[in-house]
Amino acid sequence: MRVVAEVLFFIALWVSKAVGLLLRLLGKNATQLPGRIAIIICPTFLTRLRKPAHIIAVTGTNGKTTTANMITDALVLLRHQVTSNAFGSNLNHGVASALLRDATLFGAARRDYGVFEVDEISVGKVLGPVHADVVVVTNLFRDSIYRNAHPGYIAGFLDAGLPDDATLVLNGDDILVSGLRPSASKRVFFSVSPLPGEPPSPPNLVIDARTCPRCDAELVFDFRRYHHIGRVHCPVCGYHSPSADYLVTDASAGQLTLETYGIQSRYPLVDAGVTSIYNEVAVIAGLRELGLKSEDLARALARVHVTDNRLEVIQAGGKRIVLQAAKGTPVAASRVFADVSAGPGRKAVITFLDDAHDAADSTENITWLYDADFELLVDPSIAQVVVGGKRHLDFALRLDLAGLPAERLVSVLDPKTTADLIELSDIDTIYVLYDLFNGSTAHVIGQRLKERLA
Amino acid sequence: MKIEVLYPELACLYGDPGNCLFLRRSRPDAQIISTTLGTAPAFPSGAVDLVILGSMTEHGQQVVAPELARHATALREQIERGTHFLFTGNATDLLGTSVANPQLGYEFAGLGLFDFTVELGMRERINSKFLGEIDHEPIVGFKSQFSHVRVPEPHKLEFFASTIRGVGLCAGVDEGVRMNNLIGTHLLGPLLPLNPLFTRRLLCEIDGVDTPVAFEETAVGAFEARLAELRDPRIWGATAH
Ligand SMILES: [Zn+2]
Repeated sequence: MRVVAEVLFFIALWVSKAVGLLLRLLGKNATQLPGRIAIIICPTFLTRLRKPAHIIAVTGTNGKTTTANMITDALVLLRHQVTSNAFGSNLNHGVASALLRDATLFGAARRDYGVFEVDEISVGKVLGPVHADVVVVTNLFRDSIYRNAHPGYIAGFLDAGLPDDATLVLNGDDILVSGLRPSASKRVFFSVSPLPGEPPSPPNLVIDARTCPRCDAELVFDFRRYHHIGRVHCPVCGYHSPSADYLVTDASAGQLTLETYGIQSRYPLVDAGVTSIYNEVAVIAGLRELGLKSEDLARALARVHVTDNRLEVIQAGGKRIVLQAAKGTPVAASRVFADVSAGPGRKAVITFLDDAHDAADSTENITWLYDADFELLVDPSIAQVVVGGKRHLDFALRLDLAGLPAERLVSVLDPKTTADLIELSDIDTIYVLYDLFNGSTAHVIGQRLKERLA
Repeated sequence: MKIEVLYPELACLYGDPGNCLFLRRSRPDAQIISTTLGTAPAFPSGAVDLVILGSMTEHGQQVVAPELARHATALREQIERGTHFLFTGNATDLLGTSVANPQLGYEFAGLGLFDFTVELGMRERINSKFLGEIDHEPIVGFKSQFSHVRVPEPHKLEFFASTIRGVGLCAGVDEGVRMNNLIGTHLLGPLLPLNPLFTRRLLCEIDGVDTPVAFEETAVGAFEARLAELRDPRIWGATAH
């Protein structure tokens, strides 16, 4: 039996490696299929394959890709050899594909570090066979309704799937995350103190952790950054946000000040946006827990650049055109609306957030529109909102209900015509907010705006 | 008009804020009361015209069910008096006799107003769209639930809407339940802005004023676009939901 399993493992390894090689020779993406084949041939493939000596995994609703990429970049800059699933899927097939690509023909690991972004629902499936030393959980938010239901449901998967023998690096400002897997041998928490100039308690529609996880009483937010992110306590049973092991006390003038176990240290600030600060402190906490030294990390972070491939800025005719992809989910969209609303100068916004995938052979579920903070687009600094796409009337109704005055709202079926409907005079920035799957149309609109501004 | 929203701190998922928002804009002088857990609801006094309960997590159901049970007598009285109730999403589960979650290993009693039971299939989520009719007028919506409803045969249920396409309360039956002016439907949150003409009739039933709902022209345009899609058989393929 044991010999059969061993033989199956090597067949799986060699076949999947050959498939991967062939796909790469054909110029195709080899980040999913080889792993899938390996696991079909040998169901215990991931368990049997030897792994890098140090493994860190990143999961959570938002920021996991950026966080995992920053961790990989920092390790590479410190001259470590890294296996990662950065260009592939974050399910078990993707992790297997990455590991087998970097394995020898005898199944040994050729790299010393493994960095894996893991889908929240797949955490058990991946981290069962792949023993991570450190697991970072960024946050839990309302996401795609059909797949993710509600964050409490996803928390259930994480609670069951997170390993007891890894160090869990948890977002201490997210009560849904900080309560995860209390049986783990080590849990550390990161947190970002209220920063100067942060608006207190934005009026978000979605606040997904409003009751005490211990006694169900309504929680009191001592500080709420956005949605349910912040510091809470329960007035009835005393439950409260955990104290932070990695606390950002300041993030200004290009520096991030961190208090760790009573010691203050400084790191280069990679990006000043608050979401980026969370990503950076997650990276620092994760890598410190993996054993890296603070000064090495600071050295690496000075050279880490975050390229946001969902954001593109074009300068034309003295104005800015910002193409920004936004996931059609309540919190992701609300965060983008908050950025637009807080952006400098006078603005105009084009949105076409229809889900092209869903619209192709179905009728899109638009319930998320009523969980997203469209009210933020009613800000007086936004002179005009033009909505386009198959669901334009749904968006128009949502904006009407949000209180956007009729004279500031234009709605049209064909998104490509939105660029011609924008009033360009007195505008400093035009935001083009599009669904991830509609990138090509966004560029057509960007191009047209550029022509008009030339 | 007085509208009471029950337990918004727990029962506010999947676009539920949309119903209240649409009502507030359609009846700007309406008084909206939010009742949190542990505080006495307003509806038993008989002074509330419409009581709303939205979707919640599975844990939320376990908290809300006993809370509602404490007011079961008043609830029955108000249903008999003709007070309007709107339970959306899995709030509807609580109207049956029991809710069981075999995967997580618990079961609790519902209000027992209707003769159906619910089993939560945590690995069998129902995601679907819906097209139905109420008094020959179309109604549209979306469903996303763990709730699998069992209806005994024979039964005396009065349904909320006939099923034209999609899954009703359970396979092979119509959608939702109705008792006097109480509506329970698994159609999600923004049921009212998605169905402006239904909302107009509902509000007229409550206050006797037949006047356009907020942004009716746009809302009806969006509704008709969706209705046309839902009437197109191509979107009801074997795999599409
Ligand atoms: Zn408590």
